[in-house]
Amino acid sequence: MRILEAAARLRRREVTSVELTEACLQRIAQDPAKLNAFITVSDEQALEEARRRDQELEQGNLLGPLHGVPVAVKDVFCTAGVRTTCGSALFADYVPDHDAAVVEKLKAAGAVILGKTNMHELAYGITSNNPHFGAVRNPWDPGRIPGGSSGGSAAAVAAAMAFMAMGTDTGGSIRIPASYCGVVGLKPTLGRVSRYGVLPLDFTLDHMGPLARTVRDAALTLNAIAGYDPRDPSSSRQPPEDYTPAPEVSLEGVRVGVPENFFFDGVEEDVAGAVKRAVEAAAEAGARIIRVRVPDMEAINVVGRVILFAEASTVMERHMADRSLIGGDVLSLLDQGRLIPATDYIQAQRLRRLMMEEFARVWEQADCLLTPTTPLTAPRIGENTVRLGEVQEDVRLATTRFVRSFNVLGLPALSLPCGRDRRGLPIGLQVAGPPFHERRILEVGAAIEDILDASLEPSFN
Amino acid sequence: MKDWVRIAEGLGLEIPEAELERAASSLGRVEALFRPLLEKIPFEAEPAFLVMHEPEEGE
Repeated sequence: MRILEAAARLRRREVTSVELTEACLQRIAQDPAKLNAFITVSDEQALEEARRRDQELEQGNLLGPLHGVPVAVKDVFCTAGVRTTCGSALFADYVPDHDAAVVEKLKAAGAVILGKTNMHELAYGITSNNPHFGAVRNPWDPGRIPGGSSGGSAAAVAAAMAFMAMGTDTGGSIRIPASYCGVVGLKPTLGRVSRYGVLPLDFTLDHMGPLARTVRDAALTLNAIAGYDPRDPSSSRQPPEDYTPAPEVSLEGVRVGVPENFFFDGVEEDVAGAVKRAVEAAAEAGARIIRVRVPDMEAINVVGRVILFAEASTVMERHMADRSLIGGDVLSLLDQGRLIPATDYIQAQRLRRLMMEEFARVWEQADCLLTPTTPLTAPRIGENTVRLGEVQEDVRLATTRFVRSFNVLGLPALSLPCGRDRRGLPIGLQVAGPPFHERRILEVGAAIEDILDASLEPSFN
Repeated sequence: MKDWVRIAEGLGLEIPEAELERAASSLGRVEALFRPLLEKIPFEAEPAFLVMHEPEEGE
């Protein structure tokens, strides 16, 4: 069941919030594939909230579009009275006294918070192979990673443990797990969703967004969480809009750009084929397909890595005294950041501004871009390198290759399932657009989703 | 090419040798891609982060 359907059935009193919440809690507790998607499950609190939502419905008091719908949040969003670990031993006992802005907004929209999802340690990595809370496993093949860092959120949604789960994305951490787990993930424009109350990985690349079963569910969630927040210095005053695509979407007159450079180099054959079919689906929905040449994306990626190294190590500097509390892969990244000179960090930020100006010219030719989200499908747990074509690549660098640039540029980007590879693993399609054009990319995503009908469920569902 | 080991020593960072080697090797690859980009930066280019004051309500 999707959010749209659940919300409608709740309003018609065909199902109660308590029933939906109990069903989700049961799936989390049973966890037949040992996905380990949650760090903390707030079962009593969730059932109490669900009972309140049912009472409110009986009284005709509808809080919002998510009224009574059970959802989860990555364990990086502060939750008052519920521990928030950031997937780290450093914060294993941290119990905030306040909710993150996103959690406040989800509650105000009527959502029931089931608990906190597992993740890559400190949100700094793409495997979600967490040394402190255990590896998250991919619902499609438990021997494979779910992607990260929001791996628990993606696994939970794919396995129907929650109707939606919030994630964060600094270099692809929403879109990568969405791609590997066959769900939808949306990284909105920088400043569209408040960062207040989220344990940061970074200052200028962090974005907050939903992972959901369908594009329309992601849009509905964005409606609930978007908006200006004076507590977040990077929050935008651009007014939010209704992001929900219509039931029947036409892409008549929409210019869909397909990059002729970079985004199809070193891509698995099945991934390239599935994305090609998605482009054909966009054309079938009425879009005009335009081949576009994009700027030097490799350069944007390296600038993003320099910025992330320096900013993440700044965030974590005071916590690095006891190195035994941090896993080896994260520690190595934090060490690298401490060695970056201040001048290089500022040069990277100067390059970033130039790159944003250069990339803006792409939108003179196209209204959005379609690319693969990841060049490969989910790697095996513990696999450090992967062969793509003739090149043996580091799994982390290969996985982030097509997604990181949109964090550097601060642009909205969506990942949705567009097929399966020959092993049955999901393939992700990325739709990126100009700043604050979330509605457009969600419409394009919904139109493609409707035609491909690629809402994929793992077999045990 | 930068000597990351000496930079770490100069900064007084206590990073075990093996871990420093791992970090230095990765940083060397980043450096090789990043350094040539700096030649493209015009003198007047501003960084992407900027402190902005918003006008007071009613102004």
